[in-house]
Amino acid sequence: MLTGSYHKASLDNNTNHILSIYENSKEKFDYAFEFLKEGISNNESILLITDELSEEDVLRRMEKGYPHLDVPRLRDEGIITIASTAQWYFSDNSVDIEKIKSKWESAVAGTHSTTSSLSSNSSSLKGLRVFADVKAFFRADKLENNKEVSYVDELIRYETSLEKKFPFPMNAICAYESEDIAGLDKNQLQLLMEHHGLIHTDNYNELINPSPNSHIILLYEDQTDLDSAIAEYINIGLKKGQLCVHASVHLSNTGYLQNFSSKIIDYEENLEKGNLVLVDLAEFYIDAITENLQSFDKLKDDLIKRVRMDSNRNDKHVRLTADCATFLLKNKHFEQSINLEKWWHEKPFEGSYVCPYPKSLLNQIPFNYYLFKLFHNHDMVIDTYKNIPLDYVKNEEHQSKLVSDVADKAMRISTSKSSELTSDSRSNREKS
Amino acid sequence: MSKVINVLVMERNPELQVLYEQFFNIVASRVSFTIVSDINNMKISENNSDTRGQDNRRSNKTSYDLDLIQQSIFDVIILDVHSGNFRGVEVTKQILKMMPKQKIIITTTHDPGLLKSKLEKEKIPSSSLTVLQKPFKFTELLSVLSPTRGKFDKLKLTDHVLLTYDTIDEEVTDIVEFVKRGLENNELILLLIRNDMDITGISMLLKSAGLKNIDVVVKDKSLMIIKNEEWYIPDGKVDKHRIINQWHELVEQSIKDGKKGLRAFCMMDCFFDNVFMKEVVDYECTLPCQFPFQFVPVCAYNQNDFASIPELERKRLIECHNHMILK
Repeated sequence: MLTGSYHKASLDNNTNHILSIYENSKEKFDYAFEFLKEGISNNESILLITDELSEEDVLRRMEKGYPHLDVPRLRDEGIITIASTAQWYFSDNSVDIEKIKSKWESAVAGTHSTTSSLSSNSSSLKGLRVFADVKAFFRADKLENNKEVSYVDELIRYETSLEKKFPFPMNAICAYESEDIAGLDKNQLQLLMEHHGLIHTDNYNELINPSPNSHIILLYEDQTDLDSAIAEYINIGLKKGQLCVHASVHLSNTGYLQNFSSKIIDYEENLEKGNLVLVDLAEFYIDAITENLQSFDKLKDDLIKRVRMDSNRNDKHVRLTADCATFLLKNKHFEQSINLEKWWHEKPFEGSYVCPYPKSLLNQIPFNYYLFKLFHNHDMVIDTYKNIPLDYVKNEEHQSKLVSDVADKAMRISTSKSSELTSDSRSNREKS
Repeated sequence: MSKVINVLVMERNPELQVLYEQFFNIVASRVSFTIVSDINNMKISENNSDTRGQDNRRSNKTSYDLDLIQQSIFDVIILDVHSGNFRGVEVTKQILKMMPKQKIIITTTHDPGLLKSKLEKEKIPSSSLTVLQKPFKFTELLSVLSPTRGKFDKLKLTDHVLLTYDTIDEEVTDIVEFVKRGLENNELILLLIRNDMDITGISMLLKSAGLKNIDVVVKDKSLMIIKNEEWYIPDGKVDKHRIINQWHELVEQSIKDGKKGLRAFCMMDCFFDNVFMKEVVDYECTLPCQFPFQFVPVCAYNQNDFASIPELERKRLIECHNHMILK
C-alpha cells in the first residue's frame, strides 16, 4: 500500500532529514511521486534528484500522475525542479560538501521569494521537499591519483555532514535501495542512522513482524489511521496462530466493537476459539489513577496461564495492544501513565506490546514532555506510516538492534533478488 | 483493595439518568454513584443518610441539599447546567463557596463556549470545573472521574515543582494546603509573596483557613513570609548564584533548627513584572530537577505568564522540574 504521507508522519513538520529504504526501483519511484505530489498539495516546491529517469520521463509521469497541475508551467516557475546526481552533488568530479549545502540553502531561500501559483491566495511557498535518489553513488568507483575512491564513501561523508534536522524548512528523503544498504557495513549504516531524523522502510515493520519482547509506541494521526494499524497487527498475529489481546478503555463506547470487529478476520470465530481476547480496561483505568496496578497483575497472570495451558498453540508470542496509559496521559494523569508504562516495560509475558499515542500530543505542552519521557520506557517508537523517528531510539542496545535488523532484512531481500535472477537466467538457459 | 470513586450526578432528564446508570455500571466495582434529579429545589431530602458504602453503590433521590453534599465528600459532582435556566451555575457557586477544592463537572447540551463566558461573568474560575458537552461517550465520562487528591500529596522533600494557576484565589488556596503540609511534616516554610500582598494579610488568611497558631509559627520562624522581589531581585538584577546561595543557607538553617528541611512556595510573578523572562528560565535551569538536599520549592507561575514564555524556553523550564502541577 502506498501512503507517501511523510509530511503528515513527520515529527517536526518541515525540517526532516529522512532515510528511506526501498525494495526496488519501482517501489522507490512510486513513493517518490506520491511524496512529491503531497509536497505540491502542501504548497511546497519540489526537487527530484535521480539518474535513473530522464527529465522527460519524470515530467511525463508527473503530468500523468498530477492531472490537476500544469506541470510544465510549475517547472518554468521553479516550483518543480529535476536534477541529475552529477548536477546536484558533483563539482569537478568530486563531492564538495560545502557547495552542496550552499545549494540547499539557496534552493530553500528561493522558495521564500517564489510566489506560489499553487494556492489561490498567492502566498509564498512553505519550503522545499526533496526526493534524493542516491543510487548513482553505488554504481561505480573512480580512480583518483591512482587510488580507488568509492563514491559510497563520499556519500557517507556527505550524509554525515548533515544533521537529523535541517536548519531551514526542507523535508528531504535520501532514497536507498535494499541491495545497496546490504552492501554497507554496519558502521556505515549506523552513521547514516545517526544523521537522519527518521527512517522509513517497508521492509522493517514492527507491526507485521514485531521483535520478541518489544514494547512499542505507535504514533497515529487519527482514529481511522489507528484502527487500520491495530487491525493489521492483530490480523497478522491471528494468521500466525498467535494469541492476540486487544485491551482498551473504549470497548464500551457505542459502535466501537462493531467497527473493530469489522476489521478483524473471522472475528467471531477467533473470539470463540480464544485466539483473540478483548479486555475492557475501564476499571483498570480507575485502578491506575489510584495507583493500584493489582488488576494488571491479575491480567498478566491470566494471560500467562492462558498461553501455558494452550498446548495446541505452537507460537507462544502474544500480541497485545493496550491504551490505558494513553488515556491516563490524555487526562493529565501523567505520573500514573508513566508508572503503568514502566509496568508494561517489565514485559510480563513473551510477546510484543503496542501502545498507541496520538501524534498531536507531540506538539502540546505539557503532554509532549511526558510523552518524551514515555519514549524511554519503550524499545521503539514507530508511526502508522512505517517511519521510525531515530531521535527516540535512545538506547544503544535498541539502536544496534535496529541497525542489525535493517541490515539483515536488506541483505535477505538482496540475496533473494540475486537468487531470483540466477534462477531466471538458469531457467532461460535451460529453455534455450 | 480497589479504591472507589464517589460521584454525585444532578440530572433531571430521566433518559440521561438511565444512561448515567448504564455507564457507571460498567465500572460498578470502582464507582459509587448517586443520581439526583432536582437541583432547583435544593431542600433537604427525606433520606438524610450518608450515601457511602451502600451495597449496590447506587442511590437515587429526587433532591439533595448542600450540607449533605458536604458531608458525603464526593470526589466528583456532575451537574446539568441548563436545568432551570443556568441554575446549575448558582449551585456550582454555592458548592465552591463551601468546598473550594470540590471537583465539579458541568454538563450542557449547548455551546460550551457560551457556558464558559457565563461562568466567567459569575466569577467562577474555569480551573475549578470541567465542561462536558452532551451527548457524551462512555470514555468522555470516564475521563472526568478521579479521586479527590491534594495537589501536594505526593511531593517529596527533594522535588523541584512547577505549578501553574489561573487566579490569585486559587494560588492562595494552594498556599494554605502547602503550609499545612509543611507544619505537619516539621519543615521550615518560606512563602515568597507578590508585591501587592502584605505579610499581615497572608497571616490573617492562613488563620481564617484554620491555621490558628500562625502567630506562633511566624514568631518562632517555622514560617517565614518574604516579598518575592526582595528575595529574587533586591537590586533590580537577577543574580542566580546569589539566589542559589540564599537557598543553601536557608536549608542549612532549617536543619540546624531541627527541621526536616525547607519547603518554599515561590510566586514567580516578579520576574515577569520586571521583564526578566529569559533570566527566570536561566535561573530555573541552573537548579537541578531534583535536589540532593532537603529542599522542595514550588515555583508558582500565573498561567498567563507561563503561556507568554516562548515555546522552546517553556520546554526548558518544564524539563528542569521533576514534578509538575500544570493547567
